[in-house]
Amino acid sequence: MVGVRRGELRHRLRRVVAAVAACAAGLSLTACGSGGADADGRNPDGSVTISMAGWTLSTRPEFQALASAYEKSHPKVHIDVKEYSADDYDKQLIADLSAGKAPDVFPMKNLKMYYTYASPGALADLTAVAAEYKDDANLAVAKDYVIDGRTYALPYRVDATVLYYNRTMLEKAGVDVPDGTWTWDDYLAVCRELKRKLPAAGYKDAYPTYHHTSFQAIPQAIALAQQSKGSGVEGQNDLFFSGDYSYLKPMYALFLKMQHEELTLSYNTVSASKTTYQSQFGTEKAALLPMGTWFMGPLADQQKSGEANKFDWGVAALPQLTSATIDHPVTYGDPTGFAVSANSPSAKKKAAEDFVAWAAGEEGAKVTARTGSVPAYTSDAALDAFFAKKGLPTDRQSREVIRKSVIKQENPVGEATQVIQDELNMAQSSILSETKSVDAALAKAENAIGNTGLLPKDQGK
Amino acid sequence: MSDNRTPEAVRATADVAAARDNSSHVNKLRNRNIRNGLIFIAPNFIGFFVLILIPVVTLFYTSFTKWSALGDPQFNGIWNWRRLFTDENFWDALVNTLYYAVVHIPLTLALAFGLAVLLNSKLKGRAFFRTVAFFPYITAIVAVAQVWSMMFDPKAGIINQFLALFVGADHVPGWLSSTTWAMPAVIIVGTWREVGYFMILLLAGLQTIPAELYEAAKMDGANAWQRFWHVTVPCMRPTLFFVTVTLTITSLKILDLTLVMTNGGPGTSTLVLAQYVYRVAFERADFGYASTVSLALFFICLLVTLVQFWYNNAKEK
Repeated sequence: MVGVRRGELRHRLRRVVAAVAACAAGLSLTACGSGGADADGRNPDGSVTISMAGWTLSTRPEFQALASAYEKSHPKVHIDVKEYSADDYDKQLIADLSAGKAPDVFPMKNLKMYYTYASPGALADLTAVAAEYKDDANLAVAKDYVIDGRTYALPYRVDATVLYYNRTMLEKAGVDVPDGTWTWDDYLAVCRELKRKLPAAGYKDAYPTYHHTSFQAIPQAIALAQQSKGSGVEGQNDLFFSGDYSYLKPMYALFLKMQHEELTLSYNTVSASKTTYQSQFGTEKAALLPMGTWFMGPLADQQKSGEANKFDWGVAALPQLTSATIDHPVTYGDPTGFAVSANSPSAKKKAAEDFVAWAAGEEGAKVTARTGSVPAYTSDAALDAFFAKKGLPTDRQSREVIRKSVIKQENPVGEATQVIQDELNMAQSSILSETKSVDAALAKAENAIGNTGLLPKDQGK
Repeated sequence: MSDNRTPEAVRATADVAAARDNSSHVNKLRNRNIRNGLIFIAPNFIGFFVLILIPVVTLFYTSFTKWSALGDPQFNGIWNWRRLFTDENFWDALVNTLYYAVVHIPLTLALAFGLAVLLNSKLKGRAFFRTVAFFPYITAIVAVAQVWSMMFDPKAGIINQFLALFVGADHVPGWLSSTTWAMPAVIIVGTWREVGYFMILLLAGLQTIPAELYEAAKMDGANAWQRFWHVTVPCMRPTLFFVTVTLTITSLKILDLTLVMTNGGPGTSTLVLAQYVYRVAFERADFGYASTVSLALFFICLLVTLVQFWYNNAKEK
């Protein structure tokens, strides 16, 4: 009796195991087969399906728009856009890459993580593809992706930090609007003037400006861009990876002075109340705002939807350290680019590379621009497409500022980038919350960064 | 062939056979129990094995490597461990974690015990109060942290507006924006959140104490305080021990509250070890060194728990 039962049990167990194995096999087949493609990744009908990562697809239309436009002009290629979380994009992508399940094309959100992806060989070498744009001044920002002479990603979007101003507020207060020639001293003087004049103009609770110090780039990347030598990445790399961060001191002196004089919300208020720059500028709580060009499209949308007040605004060049650079004002901004997975099958890889090159060029730029993002390719036609959006400023200065500015990197590319940025982020918190002096906070960061042994000088480079 | 054995010998042989039968039956039963037992614990154990044990064992290896989670870890000897000892952030985080634990553990324990004793008595509406005390524990941590952050706002927050009535608006603490007050603020929220959970555990323990003990003590003339100290506390030793160990480990591993409320700031004033591990791993993609820091945290938890076990065993003897 027991024997029979045991036999039956064993039989049943075998059936369960077989069923589980069949399910697992089926799952792995659907996972890697993607509809019966051959070893090169080509579908039986000769077409190629590539996958592409994007984040918050409902509010960031550029990914789907680029995919659809490319499919239209390349009928043999299909692009599946996979949604990732915006906040945890890099964490999710690292998990997928290390599991060998990354999409064929994926964006490099900024330059902070670029080295981490590129150095272990996770990204396909796009040097040959990039050569196409080598002498094209419209895609100057492509140089940001060069590591030791090789390129692993191409930009399709770029943002520069500019000075937003509320023309309505300034005119009511009787203060001149920025003309793109300001130094930081001029900026300070105008803010003081605004502080005196805004209440009489009917803006009782408003501040002259708003420094969104939750972003460490404000003021750190401004200081780095404006204090480094030359217009290329070399001077910037030398300064950033030197291990000496005293170049940040003048900007911190200015920012601390301005928060003491209540020309902007203090860091403590910004971080404790989680203030957003959209609400400060959009609801006329601040007349000026140094911020990335990515805010232009959303601000126009928010004014249209009623989320932001209706007022006249524009953008001007970021204030400069000295008047020597006002013809080509120096600012910062990381490009957003596309990279290709090094492990994709050959046909998919080829299609993916072609897509990335297309997205970086003028055709892709027009599509990107129409979705409200500033394209990396800054030809007239592409910028026309960007400024055609309703609600954006139409004055000449606002339009020219992107092209006139020298855009340096927010995150110079190297092995120590993430450590340096994280340590300097903690220093920013100590300095602006006034819990440590500028000197003490920077000394601590320098010590911690040196301690990792990741700086080029510690590696004998 | 005739059996020429004596009747005693026959009986003895039969006994041996029966005993053998019996022991094989016992063996079978034991085997079956072991097998069934294994089947029952399998789902939990497989989960533990795959999701906890293997990663923890791997951690021992990755703590001696340089690894960005992409590609293979590169062995770099004791470099990470040497770095740990000179890493100012690690020591800051360790001090902050101990600060949190040393204040949070006794405070939570005392409040939870007090509440449990109170709500174990025949209080009117005690079911309501028990629910109220447990409620913070089941509320989403992010929502809790956000609402408390608003309440702690130095100017507009309700807490400082209330305090200003007594000490004046110039002397109220800066809470989350001050290095001195950020940690106390986190401890207040942590205690408020966890008291209810530990109260329920202690309440369950209190209900197992036989009423006769109290009656006998009362007959012997013990007052309320003596009854609490000489009856309740000794009877509660196993529960108190369990609660203390759990509370210690959760305190040393604190992460979610500081992550949402202060993100470790201002400066590093609320940076705790678990958050530093998270930061090094995910903000810096330095998974090798993050493994080293998390192992350090693991050894600290282990050491503290072993001391507690040793102390409890010594007391029970």
